[in-house]
Amino acid sequence: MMTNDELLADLGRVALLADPPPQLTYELGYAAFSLRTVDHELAVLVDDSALHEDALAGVRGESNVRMLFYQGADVGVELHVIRSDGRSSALGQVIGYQFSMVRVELPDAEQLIAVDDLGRFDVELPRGLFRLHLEDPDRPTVTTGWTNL
Amino acid sequence: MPRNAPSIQDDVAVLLLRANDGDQQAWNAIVDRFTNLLWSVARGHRLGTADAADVVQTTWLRLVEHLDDIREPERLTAWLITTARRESLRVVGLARREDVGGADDLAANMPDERDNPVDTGLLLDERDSLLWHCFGQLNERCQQVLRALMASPPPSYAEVSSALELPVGSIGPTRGRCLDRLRELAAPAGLAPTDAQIGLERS
Repeated sequence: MMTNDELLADLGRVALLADPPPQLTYELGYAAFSLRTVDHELAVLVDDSALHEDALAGVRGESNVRMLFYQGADVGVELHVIRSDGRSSALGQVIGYQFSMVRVELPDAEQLIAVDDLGRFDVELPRGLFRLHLEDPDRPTVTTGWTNL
Repeated sequence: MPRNAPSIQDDVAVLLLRANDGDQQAWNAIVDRFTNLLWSVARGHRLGTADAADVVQTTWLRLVEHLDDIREPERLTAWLITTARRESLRVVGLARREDVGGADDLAANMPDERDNPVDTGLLLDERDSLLWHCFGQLNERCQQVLRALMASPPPSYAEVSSALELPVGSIGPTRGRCLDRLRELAAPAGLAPTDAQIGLERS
């Protein structure tokens, strides 16, 4: 007869057989370390409309719109992401400092985008992970957290 | 299997310090140790394999960003579970919105054969297969709590409590109730003690 501890241990053994983490998850985990940026200021994702309880209550026609807001020490970034046909276009607004460029980083690619005089920029994003680096010659780079679209 | 077998002597605090100094091997050891736990959290939210892999990757990327900030290594497990849970909820929220918003990505969201976290296809042993099938019939909360508790290394009740936003005093009773329910489900298949036998079990 099995105790609770034994049954749980047995379940853990079966889970590893039936549903093990794919090798890819380990490889991506190892690789994450190479994307470390030690000297950048981090802007943390503080608001994501995908997490809101009322996401379903929104207007139907807007259900492919996702609002993201990142907050750094003295800089904020708002992203208005519109999804269609598997790709996303994002309109960005930088608040708190006039950066000259945004470098958009994907796990396997990156591109540079100019920021206009009002702190706005727009960018096309594929499905998956991305992060933004706000760059300017006169101050340290601000990097947003990785976000999954 | 992971590339680097974790050794019990490797203290998480030391691994974190070494990783913070740029040591890739220390980082890999952290990944080896906790990937199964993160996978369990994501799959406990019934995410498909592709979404669950995204959640695990995102969690590792977040930890890389926050290596500097994690001053209390004993909080690492709870931090990882919380981050993976939030990211899982975000994916679930997005999937719901896509269901409402239209079918532009229908093909991308079709489950593959292994997408069901409680699929028994990989299990050769009949008893294991039945046990896993019964586990799949538990409610979502039971699956989340048990999957977190069964992961290796096992998190503490306090860690599961803060990460799954349940009162710490409810983890033990929930664990007991869910395992009892599992025994009930498995009993007709002759896999587990009957109700009468359960009554004899040491607590």
